[in-house]
Amino acid sequence: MQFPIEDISFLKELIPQREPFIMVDRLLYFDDKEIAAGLLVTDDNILSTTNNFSESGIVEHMAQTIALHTGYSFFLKGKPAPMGYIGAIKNLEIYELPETGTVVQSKATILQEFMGVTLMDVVTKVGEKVIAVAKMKTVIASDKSTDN
Amino acid sequence: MEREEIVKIVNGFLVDEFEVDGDTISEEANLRETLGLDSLDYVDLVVTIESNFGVKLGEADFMSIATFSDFYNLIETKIKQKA
Repeated sequence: MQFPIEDISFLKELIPQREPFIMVDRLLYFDDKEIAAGLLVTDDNILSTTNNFSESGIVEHMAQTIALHTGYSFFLKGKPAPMGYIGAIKNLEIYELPETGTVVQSKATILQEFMGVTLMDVVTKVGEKVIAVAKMKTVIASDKSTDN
Repeated sequence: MEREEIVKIVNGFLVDEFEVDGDTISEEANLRETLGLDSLDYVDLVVTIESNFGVKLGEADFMSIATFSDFYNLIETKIKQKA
């Protein structure tokens, strides 16, 4: 597939979240260790405040970028997207809240995978400006239908 | 790297970064019980070992570890294998 992928119906199949809680609307890049995804922050986004995307929105966008990595990798294997959980968030720093009408982009990189836990480094930008960073640990729910 | 140095570095980050009581660490103490880490913490331990010693531990490596002594020996072996 060619990037970016902006078919929102397709992207929704890759993550467990549902409207109005979809916080990614484009898949910009993917490989085994890395993903980049974006979101146009609209005024009617449930996690927007009067003029800005909230802290919660940024964190959820980060988390869904990671979910998209899992979902797309399962899609490439011909499997449905699994349910996953954020196990922990650490070193979260938010420098700026993006204005509504802007596109935020998060890049998530796998730092380590161990015992079913994945540690990822996430950097969120508006344009070239870094607005937030975090490390997140994710766990995929055990499901025999997704096992090899 | 000598084993003594490995022990010093490991014990150092266990106390400083993983808040393990240094008095509970000994060669024959049970690693899992003493550390009291949950599954989310182990990924941090693996990252810390890799950043300190340049060696990567896998799930299978931890299966054979019971005591701190086993843990130090494993790291020492991994470092020698890398060299």
